[in-house]
Amino acid sequence: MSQSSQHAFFSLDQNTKYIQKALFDTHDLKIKDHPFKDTQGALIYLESLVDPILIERNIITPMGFGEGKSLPELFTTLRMERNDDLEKGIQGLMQGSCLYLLDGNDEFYVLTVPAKYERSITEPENEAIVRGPHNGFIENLTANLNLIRQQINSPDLTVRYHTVGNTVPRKVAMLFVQNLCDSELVQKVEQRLSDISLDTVMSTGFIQELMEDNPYSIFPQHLNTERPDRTCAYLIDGHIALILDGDPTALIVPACFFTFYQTPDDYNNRWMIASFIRFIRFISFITAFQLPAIYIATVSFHSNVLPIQLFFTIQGSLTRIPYPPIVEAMILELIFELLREAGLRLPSRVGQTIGIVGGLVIGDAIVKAGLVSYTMTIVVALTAISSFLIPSNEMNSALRILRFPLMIAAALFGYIGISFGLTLLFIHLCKLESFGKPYFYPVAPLKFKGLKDAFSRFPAWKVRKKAHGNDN
Amino acid sequence: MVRTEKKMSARQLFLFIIQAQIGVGVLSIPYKLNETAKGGAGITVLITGVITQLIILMYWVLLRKFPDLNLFQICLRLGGRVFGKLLIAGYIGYFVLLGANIMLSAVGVLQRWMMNATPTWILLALFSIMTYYMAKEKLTVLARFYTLSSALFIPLIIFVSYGITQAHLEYMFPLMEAGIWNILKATKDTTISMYGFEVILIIFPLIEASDKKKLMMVSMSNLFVTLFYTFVVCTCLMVFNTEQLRLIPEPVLYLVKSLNFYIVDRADVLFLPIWSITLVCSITSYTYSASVGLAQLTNRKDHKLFTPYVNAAMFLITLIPATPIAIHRLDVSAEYAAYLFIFVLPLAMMTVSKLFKKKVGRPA
Amino acid sequence: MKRSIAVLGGILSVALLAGCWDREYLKDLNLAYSAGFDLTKDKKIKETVELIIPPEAEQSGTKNEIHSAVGETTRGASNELRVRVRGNMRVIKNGVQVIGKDLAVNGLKPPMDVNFRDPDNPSSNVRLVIADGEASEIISRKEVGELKIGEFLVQKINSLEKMSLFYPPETMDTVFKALKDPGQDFALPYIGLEGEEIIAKGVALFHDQYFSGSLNAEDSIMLVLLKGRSGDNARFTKKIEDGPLRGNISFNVGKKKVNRKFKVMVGKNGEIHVLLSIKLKGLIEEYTGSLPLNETTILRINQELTDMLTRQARDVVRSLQKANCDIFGVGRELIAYHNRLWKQKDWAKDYPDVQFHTNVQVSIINTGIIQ
Repeated sequence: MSQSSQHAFFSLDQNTKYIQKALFDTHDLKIKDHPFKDTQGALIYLESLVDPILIERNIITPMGFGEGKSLPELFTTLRMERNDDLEKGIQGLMQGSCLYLLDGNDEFYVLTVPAKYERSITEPENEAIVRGPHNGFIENLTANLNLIRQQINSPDLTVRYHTVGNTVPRKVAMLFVQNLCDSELVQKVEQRLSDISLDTVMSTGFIQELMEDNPYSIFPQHLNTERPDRTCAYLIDGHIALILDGDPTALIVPACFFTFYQTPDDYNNRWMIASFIRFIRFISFITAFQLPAIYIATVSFHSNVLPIQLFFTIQGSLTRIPYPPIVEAMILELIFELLREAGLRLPSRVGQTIGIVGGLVIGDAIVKAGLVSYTMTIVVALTAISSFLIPSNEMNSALRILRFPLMIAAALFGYIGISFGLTLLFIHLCKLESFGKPYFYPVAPLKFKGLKDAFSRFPAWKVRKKAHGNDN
Repeated sequence: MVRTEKKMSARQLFLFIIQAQIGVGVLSIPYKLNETAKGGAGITVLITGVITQLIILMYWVLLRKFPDLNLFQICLRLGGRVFGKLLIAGYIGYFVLLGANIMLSAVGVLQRWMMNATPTWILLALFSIMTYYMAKEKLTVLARFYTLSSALFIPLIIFVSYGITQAHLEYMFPLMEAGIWNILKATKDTTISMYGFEVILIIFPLIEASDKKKLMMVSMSNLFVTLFYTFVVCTCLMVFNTEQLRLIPEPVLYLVKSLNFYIVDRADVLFLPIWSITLVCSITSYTYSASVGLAQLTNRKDHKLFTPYVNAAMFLITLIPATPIAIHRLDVSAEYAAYLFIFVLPLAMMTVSKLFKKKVGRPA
Repeated sequence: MKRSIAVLGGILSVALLAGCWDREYLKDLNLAYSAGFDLTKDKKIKETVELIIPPEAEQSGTKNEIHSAVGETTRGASNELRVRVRGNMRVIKNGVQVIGKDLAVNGLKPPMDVNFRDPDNPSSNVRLVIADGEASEIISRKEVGELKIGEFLVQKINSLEKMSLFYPPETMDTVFKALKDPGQDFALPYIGLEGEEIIAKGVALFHDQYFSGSLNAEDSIMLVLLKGRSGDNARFTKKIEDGPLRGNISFNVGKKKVNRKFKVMVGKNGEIHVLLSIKLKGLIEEYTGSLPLNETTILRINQELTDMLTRQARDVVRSLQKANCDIFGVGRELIAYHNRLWKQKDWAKDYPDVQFHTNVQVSIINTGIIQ
């Protein structure tokens, strides 16, 4: 971002020419002649960024009644500045202001009249819930802040603006609730934000990568959400939210393993149902990435574990398969991943057809052709369904990828291989920290108070406020 | 990024010591004890628990005199620069030896029961990788993992409890069949299975608790381990009779093998991978201690640099014995080394430290 | 960090390249579900196995094949078999092992050693059965009705256990335990071929590892009751000869718990007395006599049945002592509580001298829905 400054010229012509050249004669730069009290004047604005109604109402109309009043008293825009630095003026143009220059003045007015073309507030598709608010963030930062402030009315909610990106700066808002949030944490986050040095930040994904404790880890250390109610819940819990202007995703830090397993639904439903559903989610954690590995290990190494009837059934289904179970599993998993990726990009009308193709043709025909077995199909299908249970998309993908190394470990060493893989995984989880908070809290440093919210959901009156203790 | 060691809590200490103590020995204790103590093996285990408790008390007295110092720093203080460094080197060697011993026994059991065809070095390499990945982290991460894997005790205890359904109380009687002298002699075989608490010498200053609380926690761990071992030994004695026990080197696994649940026919195939995680914890405590020792020796702050070397050393040591006789020799040398380093040297250090009249503070 | 990843990667790739060693694919296994062992005339072991062939298409049933081979020992015979059959024969899921009478008379320990030693052999669910005659004859039957021979045998034994013929179930594990116990002997189910059918002949009694006698089916039930247990049902049919009660009574004492008193007492000169008394509660299932079963009749029936069953029990105990089968574990009690005395005894000789005082008491508590 060029930090140069250019003092305004006295001549209106020179100023306008300078501005046009600085903007490379872009065609959406409009210059309207608008004299004031017999002096030549010009309104300069980028028509793609300003709201014409605001200009008309707050600038042109008042100027028409300008008898005996000076300009500053007439302009009724929300923000008005006087400036003499053309570069600053150009910055203002970029942010949706319009400039009013008078011939013979080396000062000009910068008036904010931004246009808003916004999506209406709808529920985000990926995070739908059954019961609760159905609104979601949109691209405009101010609108998002509005949604949050409506839910958290307290003056303790603090917003800090930062800019990231060297060439093309973007505004990032950092939100936290004063008394509930650890000040050390705030400092850490601010420190890391200012450490980001990129040309531009295209989306929150970039911020995430550059701010993570351990970007090489497969597990996400920030939670991203498009829901204001979720964001507010975490803010009240003492977390910090980061919202990038132009991106409807909010980043929540610090995020631990169990955060990814919570949805607002849990808190809107009754506690027994919520606990049951949470419990099912944890079973899905086990099946989502261990089931194929356990199956492969059992069938390749330790067939003596199966009870006799199951033994013969599985043996029957496996006899005609020409290759080892690991290859079978890889083929099916690959097909499934292909189907899934394709499903993301299909227009909805074609989606039905592909569902039939995928289900019938691939599922049934491939077994009849003797390429995979029925039991393997069941295993892979169960795994796929379990992996969709996790509320967070990133954790989902992480577990999906984890499936493969575990399958290979199982195919190499049987149950010992699975034990080996899981040990390494859990060591990694114990090692990981998100902004100083242990990733596997509250299970890893065992805090019983925290457990109430991890595996089940205890009724609201039983969960006391979070204890700020020595988290190790 | 400088990694400062944060402190461990008292509850984590409890589980830490338990995980460090329970190792591969518990699988074969009933077999070893059956030879000498016969029916009185339960009493032997209890007596051993008392002995280890006394040793722990001795450690506590020693460590109390030097607050905030761990074993290696105490060695330096008491022995001066040269002799102290020799002592430290000795301890590092001891930790490596014992860790290698556990790893070798563990892999031996796995090979015999589950994976006959896999070459030993592959299994050893797997264990080495696991312990390396864990030992290079700071203590709080170890503590977290140990806490997590303590949940695995529950299936272990359930499995062994099932054995009680097949138990005949009479198999254990008469209790004093072997005579009191044999029962006492048999404690020699049990003590080596209960080692692991010496890691307290290294982590004592890194625990967030009062001295008294630390002692209480470690004593409770010792108590838990003693009771657990007694339970296992008595169950095995009640399920198998003397003649049978003479033939079965790992009675616990044999017991688990005979269990039949509805979905799984052979519980020992499930038991062993779960068990190996506890073993990894035991080996890691030794690796960690040795790395910290090496860091102390070379005056660095971070033990992370030394962990690969310690693990490589352990791996190489385990590759050396190839026959059962050689393995037995390794066992015996580990046993004698243990007597020296666990009992004799700390006793000497404690008596020497008594010569200092007042408490010694933090090193400069 | 990077270096350690490279090192780990190196080790793992070596492992991957070298291949996996313990892998045994399920589809390659040929399972020997049931096996029969006999002693041939030249003292070799003849093994007959039933191999289960996996089904051709999914959802169809499995088939079986019978093969036979001779070897010096059990494993030797199995190796011979492996030469003959398709694929690698494995015994990891054995259901039942049938042992011919000759082999059992010669001693069970040597042939069964491989079962206890090999970690892959299951031992907790495998039933051991003695065949009157040649085991290979029974296994060679291949199929009984719809069931394959192995399944048939397992189901048969299971149902017989429910009928209290053999209880508690004798598996490889319990046999191993008893084989090694100097103070305890065991009894195994005894089956035989009668014409075309395989029937249960009772139990085969063992002394140490040798087959030493047998009991017929009804006596087997009595033996189970004397042990203090019962399966779901334990039925007797007795004939009352004379008196007004004349008729046949079928009653079931298995439904209620057996009240058992078992005490080993040592006399002054080292004689051993065993007090064994059981109280049975029965349900009358069938009565062919003419008297209605009111209270007085029932009391008389109780007395009759008590006498009959006590006599039967005493006969059973006599047979046990004759066969030198210490099935109640009297020796074990001595080892536990009278150890010094045990050390002086030679149990093989002294067991038949033990004096048993056996008593059975029957009380009928239910006569069905009519009197």
